[in-house]
Amino acid sequence: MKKILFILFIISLLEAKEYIVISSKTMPTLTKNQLKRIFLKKIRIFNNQELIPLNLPTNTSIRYSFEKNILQMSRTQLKAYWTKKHYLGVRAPKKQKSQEAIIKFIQKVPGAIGYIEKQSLPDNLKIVYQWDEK
Amino acid sequence: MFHSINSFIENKLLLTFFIIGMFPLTIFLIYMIYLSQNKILQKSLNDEKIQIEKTEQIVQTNLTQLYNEIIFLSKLEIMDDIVTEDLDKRITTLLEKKANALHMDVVLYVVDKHGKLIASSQRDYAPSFQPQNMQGYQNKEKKLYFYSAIKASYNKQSQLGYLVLEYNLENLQLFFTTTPHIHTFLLSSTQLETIAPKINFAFNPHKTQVINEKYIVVYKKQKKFLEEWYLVYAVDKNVALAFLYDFLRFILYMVPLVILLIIFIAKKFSKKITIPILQLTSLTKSITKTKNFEATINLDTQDEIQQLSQSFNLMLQMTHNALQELKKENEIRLQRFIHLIETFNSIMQTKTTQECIEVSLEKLQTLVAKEHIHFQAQNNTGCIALEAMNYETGKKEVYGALCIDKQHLNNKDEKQFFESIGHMISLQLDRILLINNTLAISHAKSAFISNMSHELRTPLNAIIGSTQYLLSYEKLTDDQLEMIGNVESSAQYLLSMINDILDMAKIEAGKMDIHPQKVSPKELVDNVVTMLMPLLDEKDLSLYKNITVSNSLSIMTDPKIYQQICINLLSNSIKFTAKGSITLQLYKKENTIIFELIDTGIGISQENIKKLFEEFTQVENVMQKKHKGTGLGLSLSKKMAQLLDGDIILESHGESYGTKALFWIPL
Repeated sequence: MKKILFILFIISLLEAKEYIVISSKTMPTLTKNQLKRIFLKKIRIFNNQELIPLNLPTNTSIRYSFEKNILQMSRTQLKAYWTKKHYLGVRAPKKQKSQEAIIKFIQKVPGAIGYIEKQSLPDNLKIVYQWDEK
Repeated sequence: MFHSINSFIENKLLLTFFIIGMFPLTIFLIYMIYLSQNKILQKSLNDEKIQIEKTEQIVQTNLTQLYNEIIFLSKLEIMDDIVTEDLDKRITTLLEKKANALHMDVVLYVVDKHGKLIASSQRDYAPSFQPQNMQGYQNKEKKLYFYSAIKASYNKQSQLGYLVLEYNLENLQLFFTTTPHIHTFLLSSTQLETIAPKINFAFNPHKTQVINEKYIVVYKKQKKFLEEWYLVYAVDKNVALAFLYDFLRFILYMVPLVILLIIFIAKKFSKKITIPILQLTSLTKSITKTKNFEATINLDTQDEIQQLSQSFNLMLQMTHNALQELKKENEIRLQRFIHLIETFNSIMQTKTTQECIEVSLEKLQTLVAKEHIHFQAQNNTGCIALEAMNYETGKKEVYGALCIDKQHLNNKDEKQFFESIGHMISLQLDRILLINNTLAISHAKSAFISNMSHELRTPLNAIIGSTQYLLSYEKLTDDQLEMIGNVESSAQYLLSMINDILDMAKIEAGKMDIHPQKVSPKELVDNVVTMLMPLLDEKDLSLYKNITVSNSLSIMTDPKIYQQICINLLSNSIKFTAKGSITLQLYKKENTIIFELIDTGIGISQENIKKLFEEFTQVENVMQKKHKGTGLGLSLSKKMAQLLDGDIILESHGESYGTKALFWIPL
């Protein structure tokens, strides 16, 4: 219920959506390119920390935005990419169902990195990237 | 038991077949009842063991499968949500789905590494978990817990928590075959808990099977997953043995049929054997009945009975032959016997001793060679003595001996035979001598009688003649007359006595001759009456004559004797009747002439009648003194009557009742 309201809220704010990529405090800010590479699992380890990128469910607008802006790949391209990568033993990033889950996950697991809507964060997390969706 | 009219062989065969047939049957039954029962139970046990293992296998497989599933589930990436404490409830959804999919009474839990419940497939209840126990599987009461560690998919070293499957052991009932007769269940080691309906039996952890009254029970301690439990598999005993009992019942129903079959076959086969035997028996019976020893028996059974009949035929033949021989021998013997009898006959015919010896020798010579047998006067050893009675000395003495050559006396029978002949000859000699003796005596008697007759009568006749002359011609005084008269009557009397005695002697010696003539009995009787009339007149007795025979009737008899008898009887009557009458009758009765006298005299008592006919007796009576008589009269008369083929009978009702005398002779 909360989620639906939240999504509606987000949709109401269709105009300018701000999305952030968050991770633990130890993570430095990342460039778009780095982010892309991380989420395509081309970079696996960063600062001796194994990275665990987190995706939101497939049909969320954030994800679409992320893919469009950061990964700059279409869904079909990504599908193809991950199919290829699958056979090389690399799986797609873990999915979490909700943004809260992402937050929680990142709090718990070092090296986790995920993207959510801009919102207030707990202390132990930091924004490593931001983008907007117009 | 076997008193039927059938042959004993048939019954023996019946019994044999019966035993042969029944013996295996009974053994079979005994085996079935006692031994196979055990076998069936054993087999049952074995089957159950196999079953129990199958069940165990299934259970194991299933549980292992479940466990593997848990392990698999725990490896899912989705389990990373433990980190988010299943915020999105993804794990919960999965657990719920999985629990439903399993269609069993299971609950899935996901707990974090401290044992805190993160997600569960059922919302209401959650047991507490101790993370240190969460290894592999655990059996708590009636629940089985599968544990699988959940590792982070992103970091294999990092354990996030555990996936727990709470499996209700009651689920296992699915794999247990339970029918009304089969009972499968789990029994805890404590024997307090059971999964699935149980049955009672004596549980012994050290054994693996129990057979009690109702059940055949097999149980096995479980390994993996169910270490605290025993899997028990029990089958109702009577079900296991049902087949056996059905079979036994079937056999029992078959038994009467089998018995009938046996009887039928036995009878059939025995007929084959007994019929020839009976044939043989009936044939032999008929042979013995008809004594036809020439018959033969023909049987065609190609077996021992035929052999029997053949040897029987042989025996019959032999018997027949033997009988024929015996017949021949018999004939020969008979011939010999006849010859012997003839020999004896001829010997018997001999009249002198010399003739006897000669004839004997002659006859014996037909049996023995002439040289081997002879007669001699002395008796030696080895000879057969001939003894005869010497009637002069009155002693038996050896007359002579018959000597036969030794060779004929070897055989005991032959010796006896010749001895018997010797006895025979002795007897004959004896007889001849006896006859000679008797003849001599007879001759002597005759001579004596004729002598006596002559000698006695001559002087008496002289006396009588002289006295009669004196009486009739000489002139004598009355006294002298009386005296002479006495002499004369005494002499007469003496003469008559002598006559009587001589007659008696004659008759005794058999010398009395009868001279039968044709005479008329009436005439004779009339003569008698005339002769004795003076006596009657003297005593003043009346005589009633009743003669019914005709004058012309004549009989063949000796008139002198007849008259004499009548005279004797009449004179006796007159003598013994003091007064009254005498009734004389002469009549024909049947084929006899009867001369009957009834007087009114003194009569005779019954005892005395017998005595009267004895010689020389006169019954003592009143008239003794008055009557003279030698006492020979009646006895002589009776003898004379018997000479004429007749008899005299005296009857009297007793003393003083008179006497009836009856003299009859045949026509």
